[in-house]
Amino acid sequence: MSASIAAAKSVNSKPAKAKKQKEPWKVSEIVCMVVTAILFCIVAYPVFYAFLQSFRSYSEITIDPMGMPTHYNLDNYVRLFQETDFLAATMNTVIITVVTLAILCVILPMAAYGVERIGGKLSGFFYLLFIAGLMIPFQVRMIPLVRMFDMMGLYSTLAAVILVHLGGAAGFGILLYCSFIKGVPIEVEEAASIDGAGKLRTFWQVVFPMLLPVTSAFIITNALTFWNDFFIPLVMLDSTSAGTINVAINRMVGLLTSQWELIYTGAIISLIPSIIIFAAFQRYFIKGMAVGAVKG
Amino acid sequence: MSTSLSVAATPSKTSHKSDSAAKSSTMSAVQRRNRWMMFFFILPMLVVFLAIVIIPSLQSIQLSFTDYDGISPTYNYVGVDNYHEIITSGRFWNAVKNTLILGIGSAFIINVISLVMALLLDRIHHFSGFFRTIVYLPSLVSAFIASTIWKYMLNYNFGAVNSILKKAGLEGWVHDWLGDSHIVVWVLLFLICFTLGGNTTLIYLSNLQSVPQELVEAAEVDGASGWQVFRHVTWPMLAGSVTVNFTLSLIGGWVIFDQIQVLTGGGPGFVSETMAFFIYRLGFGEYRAGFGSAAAVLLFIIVMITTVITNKYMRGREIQA
Amino acid sequence: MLSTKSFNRLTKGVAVVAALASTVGLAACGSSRAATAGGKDSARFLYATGDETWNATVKAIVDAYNKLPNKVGTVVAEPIPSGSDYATAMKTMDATGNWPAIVDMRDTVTYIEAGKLAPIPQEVTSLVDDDAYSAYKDGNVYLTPSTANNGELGFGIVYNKQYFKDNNLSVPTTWDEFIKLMQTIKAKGQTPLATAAGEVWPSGQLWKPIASETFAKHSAKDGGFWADVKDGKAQVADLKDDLTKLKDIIDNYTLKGWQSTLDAQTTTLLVNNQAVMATTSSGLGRLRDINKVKPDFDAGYFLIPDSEGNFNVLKNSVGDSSQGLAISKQAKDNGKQYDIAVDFLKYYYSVDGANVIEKSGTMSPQIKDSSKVTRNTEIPGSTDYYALLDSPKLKWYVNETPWKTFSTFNTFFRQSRIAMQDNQSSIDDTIAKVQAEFDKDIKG
Repeated sequence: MSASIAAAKSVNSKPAKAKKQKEPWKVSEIVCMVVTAILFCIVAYPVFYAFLQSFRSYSEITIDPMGMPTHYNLDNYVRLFQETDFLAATMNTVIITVVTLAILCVILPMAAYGVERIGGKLSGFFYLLFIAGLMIPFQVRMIPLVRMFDMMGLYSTLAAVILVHLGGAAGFGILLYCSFIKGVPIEVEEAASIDGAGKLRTFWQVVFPMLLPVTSAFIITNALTFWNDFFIPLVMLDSTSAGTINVAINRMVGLLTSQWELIYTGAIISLIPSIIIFAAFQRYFIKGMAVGAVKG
Repeated sequence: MSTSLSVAATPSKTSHKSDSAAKSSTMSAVQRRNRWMMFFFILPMLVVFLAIVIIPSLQSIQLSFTDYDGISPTYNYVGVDNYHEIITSGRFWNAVKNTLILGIGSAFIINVISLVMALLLDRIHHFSGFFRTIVYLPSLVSAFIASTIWKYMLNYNFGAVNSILKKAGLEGWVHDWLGDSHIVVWVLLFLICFTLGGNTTLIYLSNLQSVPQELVEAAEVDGASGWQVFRHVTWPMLAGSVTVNFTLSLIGGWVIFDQIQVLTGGGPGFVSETMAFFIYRLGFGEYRAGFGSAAAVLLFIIVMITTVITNKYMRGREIQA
Repeated sequence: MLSTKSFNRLTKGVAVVAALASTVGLAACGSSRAATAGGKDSARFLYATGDETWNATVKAIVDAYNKLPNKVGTVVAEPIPSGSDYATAMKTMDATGNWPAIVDMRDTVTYIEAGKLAPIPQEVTSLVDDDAYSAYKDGNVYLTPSTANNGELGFGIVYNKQYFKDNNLSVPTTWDEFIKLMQTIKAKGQTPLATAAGEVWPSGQLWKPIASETFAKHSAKDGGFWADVKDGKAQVADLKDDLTKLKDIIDNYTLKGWQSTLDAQTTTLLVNNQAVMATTSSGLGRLRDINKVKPDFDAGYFLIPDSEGNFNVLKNSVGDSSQGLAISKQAKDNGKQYDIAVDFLKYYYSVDGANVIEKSGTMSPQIKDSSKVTRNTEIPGSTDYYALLDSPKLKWYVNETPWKTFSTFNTFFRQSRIAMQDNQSSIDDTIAKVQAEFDKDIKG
């Protein structure tokens, strides 16, 4: 699907950057900025709210849930790390996200390439098989999975979460890569193979570099998915593990009372890396997602 | 247009390849070895995928014919009893209705909003990175956390939304947003659209940025209005990403869970249950894993049918455009 | 051959991936297992978290036990996430076959039926007040109370005592007085009652005290209302009067927005004077929370009386709402862990243990020697609670639901009640639907 995410290569050639710097300010552009900013303020209201609440105490929040902070200090932030396993949870989240992505970046482009190039009915079969995975909700396969991991001795390890993410990411990944690979001219590979390069070398040395834009897009979307995921680690990690950030936050939501001050604080902390990563890589993301390339 | 996109498309280039290669003779040894090679390329991902996705799903199909409670070591086969019970229960059809509203509704709204946002972003050339980031920011917040916060903000008695309405003198607009059974599903729809649009916006944006500027300029020189340029130049170029985005949002919409769980718990009563939630509630909260599995199988069938239909339709539309 | 070479590289690649995955797995194993590592002489105590006071209590009682010179072994406290995901958490834990020795238990019937729990021996139960626990249908006791929230004594009304004093109102002693009290408050322009149905489970907070009179009439040595429904001696329609009362209170005296209000939010509504009274199912727990939020708030606690002025309270039994401490079958099989668990529970229900629990801020369970326990009465309203325990009007009743499908039925009943309160269906329709569900789940 990923609409013939055909080669952003050709898009690259357009020197967009240079154009930007010289461009003069237009009234229409400023109007767009203002509209965007207003929409942003509405949509991001919960984030502002959580940020403000992270400076209030439990009783302040409970007495007046919508009130403003009376003082600004980092007490809640300090408490979060001192009184809970939040640091361990953060580390777990980082490990899960990074390792899953690292493995995916190796096996997924290969698989997509294989699906595209294996040819004939098999191509269609494998493609559909992987795409079907997109449509199977995690809830459907949760109990058999837990049993399986337990038998393998992997239950409540980060490896279990990673494996579930790997399987879950396959559908979207194959979809994204396949439509991109379609745009990769086969002649380049044929030339390489005439030069005597094996399929594997051809792939890593010739094809994979061409896939970098789509890889960056894939990494960003999935990094966020893995980072923000709540349900899978909730089910796959029991109390012997510190859990992930969201699981740790969920543990603060109690039956009777919830530690709101820490929940909001945790929510803000979990956002910081996402924002930094996104802000830093959004340009590659746009390139990678460059859909519907201009052919000719 | 040159955009070739489909969920169920057999990759097109491959046929081209085999055509050219088949010139000489039938499948040669080299070709066969190549196919094996390609199979080994697929293998690692395939093994993980089968183990994590396909096999457990098949086990669920098996469980759907049992009275398994998820805990006991044994269970009995009960034939199609679970399926019969599900399709004769009004509760299930209500969940199907909600799933359709939230799935199709969110797919439509998210796409419209995202397209508008993308068009706005496309016109911003200064600090574009900053603006892209803030537009994406709400999607960076996990659905779980965003819903937790919204639950408080929408409280009838002290939530920010009602407080603001009261201060603005709009007493008549004050509602129990998550507790009024007549509107709760639409409120959920609204909140879901708030949190899921980030990726969609960026896919549109990257598509917009690849629209050749010359085409737009040429149209403007010809005296086309802003709307005409959009309708006749930009929109057709977006056909591919519309299909991708719509299909992805639709699939995402079918399995919405976190928001329902946190915001309403399916209530008040049963009114806001969705299929994914229904499966979870019955299969896990009420210890009826067999029954829940049967509902899950039905969900899969619905998701599959609707996705294939939408995709067929969208592809047809794409060609017309 | 070229292809062999590349194949080798491929396998190497796969091996690297596999190695990477297993390293992570091992690392995770290492770190996670270390946290709960205990030798042969330790037993795990799995407890539900979320409530800071309860967390502190568990820590205090476990520490105190571990310091005993003659303890049988060490107890390791281990938290589980609580709330709506309790069932999931338990289920996944069960799937691992890694049961702790002592469990902060809910959904007890399911786990008894599945053979996951061991009977609690008489040497423990003999320490506990007879009204505070009861046996399962097989004659064994599987659950003893973890706090003074005996049975459903925590299903009551927390109220603004200062408001009562200022307006010369008194705590109702009969059902009619309760209704009249709410009428009076309403006439003064205040909202009488806040209740919560934003989650499914708190919907019993108002319902159970109302229905308790009917339930109590069916109370018997073994059985109760639902057992009679199963045997055809009663039917859901017998609850029609009670459902009508419930609807009347919701329609006339309840703070708007109850459909989306969470149990935890009733504290906010009470301390901000948005309602004079609020329902609760955690009795002392709610009082403690109010105290934490607003220490100068003068809260009180009472039970809704029946038409004759009795407080009918469900005895701690093995049913859908039962909650308490249990010993796992796995510990019993282990032997040593079982001995530690039994010894720990004996300490838990001793006067010394009760004092430790009281000191940590939790009200200790009713034990035979309760009179020797130093009660912690710092929290406003807690004296009301203790007074109830000695009230001659307090009538314990039994309503056993020893069917593992009862939680399925009960969730349906709760949701149907909310739908009825919300005018989505009539009382009669609700009764018919609930009866049909009961026949299907329990009788069928």
